Amino acid sequence: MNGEYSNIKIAGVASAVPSYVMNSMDYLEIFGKRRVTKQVKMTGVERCHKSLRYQKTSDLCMRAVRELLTHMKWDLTEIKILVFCTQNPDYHIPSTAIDLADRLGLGKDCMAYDVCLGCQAFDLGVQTIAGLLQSQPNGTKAILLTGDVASVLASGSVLTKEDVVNQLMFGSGGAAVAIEKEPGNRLAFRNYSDGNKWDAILKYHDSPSMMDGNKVLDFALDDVAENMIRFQKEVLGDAVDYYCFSQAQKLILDNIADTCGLTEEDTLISYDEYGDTSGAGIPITLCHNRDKLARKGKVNICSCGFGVGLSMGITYFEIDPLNILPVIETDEHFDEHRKHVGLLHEHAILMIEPSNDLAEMLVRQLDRVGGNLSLYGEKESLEKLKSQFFWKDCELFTDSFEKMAECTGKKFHSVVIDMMDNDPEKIKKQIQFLSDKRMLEKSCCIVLVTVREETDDGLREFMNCLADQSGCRVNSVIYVPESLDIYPDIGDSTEWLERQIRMTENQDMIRPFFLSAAVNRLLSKEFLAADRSIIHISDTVSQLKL
Amino acid sequence: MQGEIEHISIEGIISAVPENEVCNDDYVAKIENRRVKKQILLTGIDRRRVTIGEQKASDLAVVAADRLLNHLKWERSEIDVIIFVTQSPDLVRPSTAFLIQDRLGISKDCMVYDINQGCAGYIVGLTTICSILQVTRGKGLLLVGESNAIDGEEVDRNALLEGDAAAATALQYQEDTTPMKFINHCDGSRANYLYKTLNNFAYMDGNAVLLFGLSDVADSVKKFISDNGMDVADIDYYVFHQAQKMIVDGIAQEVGIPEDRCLNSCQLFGNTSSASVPLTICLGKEKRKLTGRKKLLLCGYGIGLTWGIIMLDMDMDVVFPIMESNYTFEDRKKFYL
Amino acid sequence: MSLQEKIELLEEIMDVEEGTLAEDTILDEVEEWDSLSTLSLTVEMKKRYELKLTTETIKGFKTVGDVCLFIPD
Repeated sequence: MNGEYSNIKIAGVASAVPSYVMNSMDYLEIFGKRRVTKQVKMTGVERCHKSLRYQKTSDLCMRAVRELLTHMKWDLTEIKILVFCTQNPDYHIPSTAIDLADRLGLGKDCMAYDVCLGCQAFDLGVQTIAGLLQSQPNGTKAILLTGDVASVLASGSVLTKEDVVNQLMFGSGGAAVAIEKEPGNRLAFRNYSDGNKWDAILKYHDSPSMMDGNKVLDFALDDVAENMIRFQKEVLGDAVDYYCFSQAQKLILDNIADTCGLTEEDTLISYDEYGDTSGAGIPITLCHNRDKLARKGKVNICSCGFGVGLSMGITYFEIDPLNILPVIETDEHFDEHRKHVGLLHEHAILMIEPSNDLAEMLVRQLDRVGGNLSLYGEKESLEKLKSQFFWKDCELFTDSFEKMAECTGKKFHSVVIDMMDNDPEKIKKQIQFLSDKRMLEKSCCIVLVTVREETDDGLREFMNCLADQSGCRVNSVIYVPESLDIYPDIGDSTEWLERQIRMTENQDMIRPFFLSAAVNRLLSKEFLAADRSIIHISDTVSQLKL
Repeated sequence: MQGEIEHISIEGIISAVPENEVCNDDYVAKIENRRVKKQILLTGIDRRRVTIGEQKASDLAVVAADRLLNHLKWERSEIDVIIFVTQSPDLVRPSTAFLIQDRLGISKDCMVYDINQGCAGYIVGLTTICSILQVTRGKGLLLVGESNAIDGEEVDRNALLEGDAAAATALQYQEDTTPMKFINHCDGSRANYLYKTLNNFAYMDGNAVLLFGLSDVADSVKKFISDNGMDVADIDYYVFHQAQKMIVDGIAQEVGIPEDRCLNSCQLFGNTSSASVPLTICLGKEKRKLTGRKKLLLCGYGIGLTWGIIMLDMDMDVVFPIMESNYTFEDRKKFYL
Repeated sequence: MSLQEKIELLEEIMDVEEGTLAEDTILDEVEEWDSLSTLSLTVEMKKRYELKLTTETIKGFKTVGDVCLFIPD
């Protein structure tokens, strides 16, 4: 679909990245020298910036837009549209854009929403806003926010070969584009979407991200190049100063450039410094090259973003480099909206005596998803745990159970018990106590985390006993320590995996990603009916059925 | 954001609901609360539809869109833009609109994506798609739908309000049309009145939402009508988002709209979020056997908080009967763990 | 509206028998004082008096008498 406007001005661009830099070559030892060298050569990504754990896409976008608005000296009341194009919004319901509009002080006369797009976010976002502005008076302004966050490897992540590739390729970035309706500004565009390839890049609600690299490559080399050539022929009458693609890797971009007859001087890049920054790629590239652009005065840019969908957009516009800000670095993160971000924030969870690495890891995961935690156990180890938490309101009970009952008015929605170092009789007494003291909510769920035994019978009996005592639902998650950390197709690359494990905090620690996922699930509202279920974390992910 | 959209005509609307009808009275015994019966009476929501099995909003949307495109005899290659407004997407990524494009066999020269909006979704969706069609001068498909309603053990008093539905609207550029006037608002500072967390915990301060309806929304409607130099009586029918009877009636009373001018659907279908407005148009047309051109005022309001109004001149003969379907596409299960 | 009339209005809204409520009746002890009743009351207050009955105010009511104080005479 082609089109053209004569009254849309890309007034300014700003972008932000986190300050933590991950150098690809630092990983020679860990991921393997040959693999890393080859990958860097192919992708061209020498470094990328990664967000620390709690930074979200919106944090980067907000920093970018605030600096941009200050620079542009825009009157906030003239901004009538805010579109947030990302694959990582803060909330699913409602749109994060509404909250951002409020935080920016845009007033109630603004329309704001999120759109789910990836690397083509800049182009399709600009094209959408350009359309929306047509019904508005001249001088009306709009903001487009794009980007996706890429986090530092957190301990507790399961690594596959794809994860290694992703780690070295994707960078974190957020951007803001200021758009204004002003006659005398030409904006020409094209877009193309192939829904038949929807499964090339996908993520279900409870799955990791999946990508069919070949399909994406084909799309890039055929469809993207073809559409660009057509655009060049049919639309680009004027000269283009620079082409700016979304920052897929060097291999892909070089090929497209070749097919379209573009040289290195014609194209702007930023992947060498920032990696693939998804929807923020084009803005970051403009910002990264702003000094070069400033030498020319106003420049004509042809941008082309392509990705998830699979779809693409091409946009041709003029921009004044004085309004392209240099890339901003920030690690800031806004935390007041815990209740939206946290999956379990109002869910009072009591974890009894987390005494081994596994249990501690579980507790940290629950903290990460915003659980309202209370821990019972030994003072020193609990205090050490708490010091690593994000949410500071975790309650520690280090005395007796009786004391705990006196201190807290809490009623627990869940009690998580790691059975490995705990005595079943003691557990029975503790649950009885909690039940007698009415410290358990009506729909309370007790989750036992335990190592596999011969049969499930003994466990079932124990679960029934606890359930009868307390009137609560009781569920179990069983794991086999050796089988927790694998994907079947690791093959001969276990060495790098082990090195990666040693690099993160807990030595010799097994990464029970699926274990904590299973526990999180059992505690969530979706599984309010789950009772007396036993989940086995066994060898393959596909057997994780709840 | 307010303005006027010219040269766009609605060529057809079809809504689709799941076949499974849930009767709220059945819950009077199940939910241990004597007041359930009263709630059903006051909210006016007797029945609602809930998807079964794997069916999601996108399935209903495609069923409706497919019938609509066939009915209009539009070539699949003529569609310039597909927008799916939903808070029940099939996946986290890509936008569910891509699956819809694939299922409908629509060609690739098309702009495709999901917009995340709820109760005001139809208004926001219309504003966006019409804006884009003004430059392409072609045809577009606006789809809305939700499938978050639940039935069964986990139903609580809030769940009795929600229903599943989807709607497909076909639009096209046309020189001679009455402009559609619209206005869109949002207020994130009051987002805590009504929201859902990442795993579908729904929070609602019913009283605050009611007051929001009776003040901000009603005031906006009054102002919209008067700013356009009109009277309440100049509009043939009002279509409010069907949150529940008390709120809808309350807003109508505040604005001074006679009851028979309001179209409703919550009694039979509950609160269907983004699909609410088009579904109500479809049901209203069926029940009242409306025909010919009518002046409609559509008003969506709710989660965000957002609220929006659009006034249009519509040919009721292009509103087709509501479809019932349990059809579920198998394509999304490809890699499902 | 007199005190008695206000109490009768509340009895009607809460759908309880005449004579059930008194000025000193504690709201928490009446099952019918729930979100349905407060919503109905909010609608009445807006319709009759253009008064906004906010959630905070509702939370502050302890007895039937408190509600009657809020309702204008």
